Amino acid sequence: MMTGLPATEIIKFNTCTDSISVPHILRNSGFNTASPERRKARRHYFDTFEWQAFSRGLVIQSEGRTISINALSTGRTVATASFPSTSACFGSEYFPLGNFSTLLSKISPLRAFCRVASFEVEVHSLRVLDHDEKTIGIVTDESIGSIASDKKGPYVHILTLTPFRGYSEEMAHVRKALQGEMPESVSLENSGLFRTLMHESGKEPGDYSSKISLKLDSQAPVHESALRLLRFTTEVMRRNEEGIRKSIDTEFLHDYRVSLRRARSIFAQLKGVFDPQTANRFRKELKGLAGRTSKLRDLDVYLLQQHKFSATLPPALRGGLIPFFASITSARQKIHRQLKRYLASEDYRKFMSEWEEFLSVTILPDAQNAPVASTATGKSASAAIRKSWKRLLRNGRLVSRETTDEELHELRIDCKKLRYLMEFFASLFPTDKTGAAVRHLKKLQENLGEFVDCSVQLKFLHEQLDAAARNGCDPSLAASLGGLMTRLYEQQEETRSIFHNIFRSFDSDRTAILFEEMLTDKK
Amino acid sequence: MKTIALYSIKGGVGKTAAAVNLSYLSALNAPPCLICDLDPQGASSYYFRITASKKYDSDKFLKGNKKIHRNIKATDFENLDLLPSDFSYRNLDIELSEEKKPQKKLKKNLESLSDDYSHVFFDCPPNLTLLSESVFSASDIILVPMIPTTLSIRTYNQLIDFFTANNLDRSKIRAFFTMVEKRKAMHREILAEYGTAPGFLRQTIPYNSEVEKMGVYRAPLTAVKPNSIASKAYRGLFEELMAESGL
Repeated sequence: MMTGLPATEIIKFNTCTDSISVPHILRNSGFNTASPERRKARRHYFDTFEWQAFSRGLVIQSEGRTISINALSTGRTVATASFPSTSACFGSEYFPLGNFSTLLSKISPLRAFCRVASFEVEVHSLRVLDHDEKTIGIVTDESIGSIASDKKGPYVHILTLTPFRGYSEEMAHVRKALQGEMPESVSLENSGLFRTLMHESGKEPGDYSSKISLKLDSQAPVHESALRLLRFTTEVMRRNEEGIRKSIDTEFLHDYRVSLRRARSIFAQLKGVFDPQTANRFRKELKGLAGRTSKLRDLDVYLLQQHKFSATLPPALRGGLIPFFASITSARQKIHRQLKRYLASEDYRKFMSEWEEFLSVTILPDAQNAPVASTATGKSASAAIRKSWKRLLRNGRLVSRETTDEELHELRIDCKKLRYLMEFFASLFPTDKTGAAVRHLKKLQENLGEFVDCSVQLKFLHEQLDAAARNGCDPSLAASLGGLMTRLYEQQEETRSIFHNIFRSFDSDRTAILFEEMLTDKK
Repeated sequence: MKTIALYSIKGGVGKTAAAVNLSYLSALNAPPCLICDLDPQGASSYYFRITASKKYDSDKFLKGNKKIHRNIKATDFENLDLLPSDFSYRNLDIELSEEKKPQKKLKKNLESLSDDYSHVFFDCPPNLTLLSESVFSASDIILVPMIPTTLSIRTYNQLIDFFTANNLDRSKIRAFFTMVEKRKAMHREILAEYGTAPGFLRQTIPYNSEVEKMGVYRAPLTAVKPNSIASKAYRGLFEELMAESGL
């Protein structure tokens, strides 16, 4: 007995095969066909810069005026929407509220979905009928090729068999009949088809993540490992430049800035690894570059919170925020133009080429100037993490009962330093230990992060209020800003009030054991 | 999931025609829909060109959930599936009587389908047996097609009496007139008397040769001849049923 067909079955043909006549083959095996449909269309695939749909096992594709989200493994459609435009990038807010936009925002709440590849498809589909003229399934004959007219021949030629419910056994006979006539054909997974198509357009799904994925060698000199880390962060910066220039979404700049901060942190925390004069020079330059991007990031953060801000206010006060956000939007445009100009400038080009030149020199620096450059990476990493962890504990215990703003600001920086070190060297330690330690640290970081964000935003809103007062203030704007400041202040005080509890759980025996185990239990 | 049984003690009153046409309209307007052919004659299965697989029989039907799930087949119409009947269903009553709680059996066997379908239609065999009782308890609405004759009214009253005697929920019963021929005096008289009676739907299905041709089309009339008089009447019936019964 023949086993049934799965939900869909894809058979891939040799692209050189002459056109095949599905109805003809099926008629010879006792199956009729009906309702032939032929169409030619452009098919576009979309994903975020970091392939968030793909990494969730989903594929977003448009054909004609329809866009759909499909399961990567089966090709089954999960959600569809009409897509009248030819836009190359969109966010979930581009679509009316519903299944489709909800799923998009679940895949990525922040990132834009951009076209990653486009194809010309020729589809010929028909129903397969049994002896009772009952439809048992659909056969789709697809040729997928390049949109460039000068390229000859399709990339792939496939037949997709989709049995109707309850007819998988009958459709298995259909497959046998078709494959019998086409000896060179092979069965293909839907995900395999997707990879093939991406490969043909020079794309590699999942090839970008800002997370540090380097496998370091614990015996290698720390100088070599630090250079590798710096090269990694620089590569991330480089890959995000275009997205920043085109202002595709806010995360390009965010990743760029995180990379800059990581690079600075490597210099700051691995003392004696580089020649101090060179290190100081680059640290200063990187700091300057970070400074050029911070204003834009601040404004991005406000714009991202537009809905949240509005929702925290009573409806009567929301109107005042409209001109407020309009002015932020126009300020952002101006600052974005400035940054774009800088990224295209000779200054930036020159700095980056010097920086990359520095990263490419692998010779160990002079031992007199950089005494620990040749120390084993593992040893250096443990020492640095231990030092940073102990400092965080020391400073955290010093935070007074009043938990002043300055104390919390500084402790947040200590947290970040430790977090970066743990990320840099994660590959040297057992994953279960680092994972658990990072989780504890993360809770503390979240508390402090929220606190600092609130206080930075409060300061900003205060400045806006002052500026508004100088320019003859609109009372509805003042009321809205006042309302927002009240909410932010409440939130800030809330995080302040729970700080000691959260710190205590980080400064516990349990966490200490975890850190000790991690630092002694090197791979 | 709402369940609607097309039921009548009498045969040849248009149960299958109503089940096929209403289920198609339901698949169109409130998808997805399943039609369960419970009649061993398998007329609704025939109308959809579906035969049960060789391994399927009344035994599998009584085992329920998984076995039923595996034997549901797609019709040629989107969002409309069918559980075909098998000739072995003629023994369902004997087999049911050997079960512990035969009246509850159908309801229990279809439990796992409740996430898959918004509406399920039963096309029932014409008799009043254990299977019928099982259908009564599993259905939200028992829809009774009637030709407007005195004999039909008599069997309808028998059904009402049966419900009363057995303490069943009479409010589930909805009757409607089928194969109505206005030129016949008796049809006119019975419509005048019962057309607006409680428990009777207002929409009637006229006698129409197109309905008989469904055996030739082997598809719902509402799908292949949506503008025929009978199709319009089924549409009216469907809308009335949806609105009135809150389905």
